[in-house]
Amino acid sequence: MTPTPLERLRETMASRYPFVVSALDRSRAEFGAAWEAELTEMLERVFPGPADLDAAAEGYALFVVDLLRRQRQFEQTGTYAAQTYEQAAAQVYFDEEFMSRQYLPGLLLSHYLWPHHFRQLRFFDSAFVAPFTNAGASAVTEIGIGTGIFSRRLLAAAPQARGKALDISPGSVGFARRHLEAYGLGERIEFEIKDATVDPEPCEWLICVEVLEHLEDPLAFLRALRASLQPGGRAFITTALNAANVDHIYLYRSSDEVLRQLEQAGFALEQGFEATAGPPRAPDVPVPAVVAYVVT
Amino acid sequence: MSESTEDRAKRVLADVFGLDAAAIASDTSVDTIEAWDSLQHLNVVIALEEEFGIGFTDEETITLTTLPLIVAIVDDHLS
Repeated sequence: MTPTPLERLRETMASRYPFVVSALDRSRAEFGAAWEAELTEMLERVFPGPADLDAAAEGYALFVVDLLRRQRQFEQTGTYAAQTYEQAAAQVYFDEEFMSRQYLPGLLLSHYLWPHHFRQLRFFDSAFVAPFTNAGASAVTEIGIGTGIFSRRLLAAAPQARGKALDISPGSVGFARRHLEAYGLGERIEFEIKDATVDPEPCEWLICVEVLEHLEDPLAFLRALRASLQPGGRAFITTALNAANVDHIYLYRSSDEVLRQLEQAGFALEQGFEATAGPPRAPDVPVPAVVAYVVT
Repeated sequence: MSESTEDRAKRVLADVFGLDAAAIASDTSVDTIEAWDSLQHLNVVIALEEEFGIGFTDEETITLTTLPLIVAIVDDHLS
């Protein structure tokens, strides 16, 4: 019998990169059948063949070991290695091979395999997608589309809506476009390769996931975002704390620092979410976390 | 006689996982040590790099999942 895509992914991981299997098993145990169904659908659509699944498993394993190595260095130095936006852009955003082989498949799978990332998706659904559909809203803009998973979830839940997606990385835009098309949503979203952190366009409903920590001056960007948000508008803004990914520049050590900047930029907090990657590896060692806010 | 790569690698694995070196068999792998998750994998990789004075590529890092593979990749670096 042909294995399901999820079985195939797990088998590939177990035989080639067994050290990453426990994360998959933990998420499966925590989130159950709904998680399995969601992940299976994503795998079927985005990584449709056995070779695609095997490549995704390898990309995820590479993504994890790169991240863990940088995290260990961060634990020792207390700072992120990348210091400027230009460094990160050259090393990551414009390296299409790196983006398509490792970074984007790894990041997309992490949204399902890492419990704190999956819980953040659930928060997005309840705190942003539901109000969007309840309001009968018809347009959403995502700055920093990344893998496309957030716009995809919103557009799938709101059949009347159209999206606009911006990202500086051609690799991201290509991956997100294929991702949305694989879900039959390609007709309802417009993509643009652009540094949208400069002069963001006016919008009413805004998604901005894990962009702040990639910038040298996130407060200036948040001020520009606030100015671009139309009256009655709402934004879903997230960032990572103490997470030494290759392209993270601005170090947020606590959710208080993020909340302070949101406030300074003029946003009003509606709902917040915070989840850590796990317990500290040792006493006083910072733990990576994600924070997400719905703001007006 | 100098210690073999396999014996040195066994000692590294024993140290990382808090085991007796005698308990590390020649076919030891991620599958035979329950505690060998992603965090411990990185500990193994870093400890091997320190023991042998080498640096692994990311591609090698994801392949270091059995003692025979560790020995082969380390020997490749040392040759």
